[in-house]
Amino acid sequence: MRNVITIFKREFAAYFSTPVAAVFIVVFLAALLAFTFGAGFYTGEESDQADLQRFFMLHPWIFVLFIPAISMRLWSDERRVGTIELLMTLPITTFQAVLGKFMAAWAFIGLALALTGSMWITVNYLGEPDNGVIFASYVGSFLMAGAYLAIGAFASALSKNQVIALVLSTLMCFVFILAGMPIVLDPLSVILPQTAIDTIRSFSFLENFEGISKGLIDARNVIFFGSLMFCFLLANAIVVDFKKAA
Amino acid sequence: MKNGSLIGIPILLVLFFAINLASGAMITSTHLDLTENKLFTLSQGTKNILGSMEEPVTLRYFYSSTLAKKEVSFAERPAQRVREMLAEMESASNGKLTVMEIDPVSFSEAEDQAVEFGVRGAPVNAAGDMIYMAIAASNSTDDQEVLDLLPLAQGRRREFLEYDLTKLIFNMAKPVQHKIGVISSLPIAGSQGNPMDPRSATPSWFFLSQVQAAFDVQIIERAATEVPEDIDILLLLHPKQLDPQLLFSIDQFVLNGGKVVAFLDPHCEADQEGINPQDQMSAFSANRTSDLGPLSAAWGFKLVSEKIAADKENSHRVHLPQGGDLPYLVWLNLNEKNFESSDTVVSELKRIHMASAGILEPTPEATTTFTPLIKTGTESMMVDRFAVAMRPDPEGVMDKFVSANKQLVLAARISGPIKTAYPDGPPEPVVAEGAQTPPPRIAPADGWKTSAEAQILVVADADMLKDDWWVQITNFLGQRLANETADNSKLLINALDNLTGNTDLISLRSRSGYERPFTRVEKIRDEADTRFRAEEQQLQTELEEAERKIAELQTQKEGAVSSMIITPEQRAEIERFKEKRVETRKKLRDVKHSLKKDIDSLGTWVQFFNYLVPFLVFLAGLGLWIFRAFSKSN
Repeated sequence: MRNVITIFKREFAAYFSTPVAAVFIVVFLAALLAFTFGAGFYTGEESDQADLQRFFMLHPWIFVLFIPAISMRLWSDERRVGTIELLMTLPITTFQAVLGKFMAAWAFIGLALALTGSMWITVNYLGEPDNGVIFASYVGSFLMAGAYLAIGAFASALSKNQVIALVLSTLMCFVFILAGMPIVLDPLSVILPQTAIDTIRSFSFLENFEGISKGLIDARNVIFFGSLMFCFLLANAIVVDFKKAA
Repeated sequence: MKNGSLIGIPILLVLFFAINLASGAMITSTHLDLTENKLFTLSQGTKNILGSMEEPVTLRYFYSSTLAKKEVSFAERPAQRVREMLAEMESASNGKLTVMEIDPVSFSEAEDQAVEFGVRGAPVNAAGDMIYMAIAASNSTDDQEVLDLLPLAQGRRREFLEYDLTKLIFNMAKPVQHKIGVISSLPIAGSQGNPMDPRSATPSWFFLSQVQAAFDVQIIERAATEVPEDIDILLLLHPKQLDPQLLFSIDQFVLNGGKVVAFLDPHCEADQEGINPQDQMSAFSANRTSDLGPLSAAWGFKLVSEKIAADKENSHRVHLPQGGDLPYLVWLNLNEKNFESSDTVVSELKRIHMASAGILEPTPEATTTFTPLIKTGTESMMVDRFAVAMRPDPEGVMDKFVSANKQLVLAARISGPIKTAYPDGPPEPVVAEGAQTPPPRIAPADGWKTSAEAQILVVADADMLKDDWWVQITNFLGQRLANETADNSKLLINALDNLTGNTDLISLRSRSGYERPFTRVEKIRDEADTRFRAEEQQLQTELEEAERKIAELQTQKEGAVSSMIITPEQRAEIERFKEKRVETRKKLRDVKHSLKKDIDSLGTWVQFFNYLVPFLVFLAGLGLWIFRAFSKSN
């Protein structure tokens, strides 16, 4: 366990050794803010509700753009530069290394999410939102980010080339989003029975995040994100071992 | 795992799918509800009712989901909410509740089934496809009831979904229905009106349909002399000049354990008996006061005679015929501050409208406990009934208003020991000339009752149950839909539920929490409204004045003999007024825009505050980079 923490600390600190981290956060926040305000956060109509729904609705999409950018360098960079050998000579297990790197990246994204707290303050200043719902949404968003990250980390272990890692992880994340979109499910509903459609939808990020973003943390959603992270992290370790043995 | 094979990966894939498919199938309602109003959790009242069900109940959820996906997509969210709630209820019912979802596709057997149950759909497209969203409930004794859920698709009654569903189940599951007897001198069941004038017919009052949905209701004739035996609760709505025999019967009814909800009114505006529209004086002399004879004294309270309540803080604004508006102090607009928060009959209410309500007080010799349920604010006074008997007089009441600095009681709970109002037995029957003397009343085996414990709820206004004061009825897709503007009817239903001992249903009354407005913006809007309204009115009059002048001058010009020639003075004047018109119009537009500007500037500040965060991160990053570059070069 201590090994994981050591790796975690090292990795997390490394994020701040270059301006890249700051750039990432600035662009991430700016994108979220721009789309939230642009889409009409408050339009002046009386029927507007003081909530952050429009804000959180963007997260799955912003994540698919930004998180692969973070995850792509997790493993592919090290193998390209060669520092991976150094990492592997340390007295730690592969899985511990995987976990340490993952947690550092997850914490970094958590930091970026935390910086969006100004929106939470704003909506409380402007009205009386349901803060329980907002809290739940942040929890759900953080979990979902972890899921995206686990996929991205796995993809980056597959290739030395960061761009390939980026493309691969983006594609895989997209599959999980598309599984919940009517534009995909409707044509499928012609050939597949309703239960199959519902099952496919239950594997999508949109579906699992939606309930949480309304304030309801369902065990099934938590299991979805948790099992996804677990499986992809294990797969990550397997690939790293495989490439090492090769 | 230091092996060199990739066999683990497909295994993990299978594991992932297996875990999730299993959890999807096995877990149905393990969740954490973090909403502030616990919107996703069944409330305790519902759980109690579901847990104590003895008879099985079946709910058929008819929802046109295929049609809705295509044509009415805004129905999907509420439909899903219903689905989820039904699932939760099913699991809380220990197997006594069975839920089935059926899609009544056009021209299918399912649609026929829906129609058979009495479910009404609404047409959604030119082809005549009908959308259905309702629940048909049935039980083991073939009782059936339908709950229409289409209002949900319109965004209505969302906060009552749990209550409506629970009540539906409750109605199916409970073996006994309480019977309500209604005695009223008002045309609550509708009237034929004047046969000569078809428009004078009136529909039945809307509250009645709501009461009938929850209870077994029997309307007792005003001329009746006895309360029917199987009545559990008596609803007295503006009782007036009742037969002494009936009053005696009510006395005995209460002493035998019957409960009463009474709406008494010192000045019932809805009472049009004896009023001739041609004769103004008839409005003055007609008897529009409720009375209970000797009963109210026996029950320990009185309706202060000839007085109505005026409340400066809680009244409706009305438009005056000569322009402007003013609060009409006897038309009350009461809110939560006026309701007793510890009594479930009123604690969940949000708003009550009353029109010329009376004042209740305990009598000095009362043996009962008098608990106020609804009170006016402290800036109130008792106004003479005669001041408004002929017609409403907002200005008069306002002019003569002097605050008595005391809250007046508008509704109360009377409980405790009472004695009969007829210690000498039943009164002599009133016999019309020439009619036969009816046989004397026969006392029951143990004699007439003389004392008991009573539970009575009294409200000092009868007008409040008239549709105008609490509900707007509109037509949507061929259905009558009610939009409640106040909780007047809810007060009555709460009272009835309370007296039947149905505390679980009461605790469910209204779980709102769907509306979360931008309060700060609303406040700005309200402040700006008051600020600018006066200005706007001023400018509007100036504008009208200018327009009038221009028209005048123009016609003058045309009327003159030498109409071809207008004097330079006249021309100048016209020009002046035209300019004034342009200027005034511009000012009027500016006033309207000021409000928008205030809100917009708030929006700008909000965005600025938020964008500040990434900007600060940018600065921090820049600073760090410079610092690093600097320290490296040293």
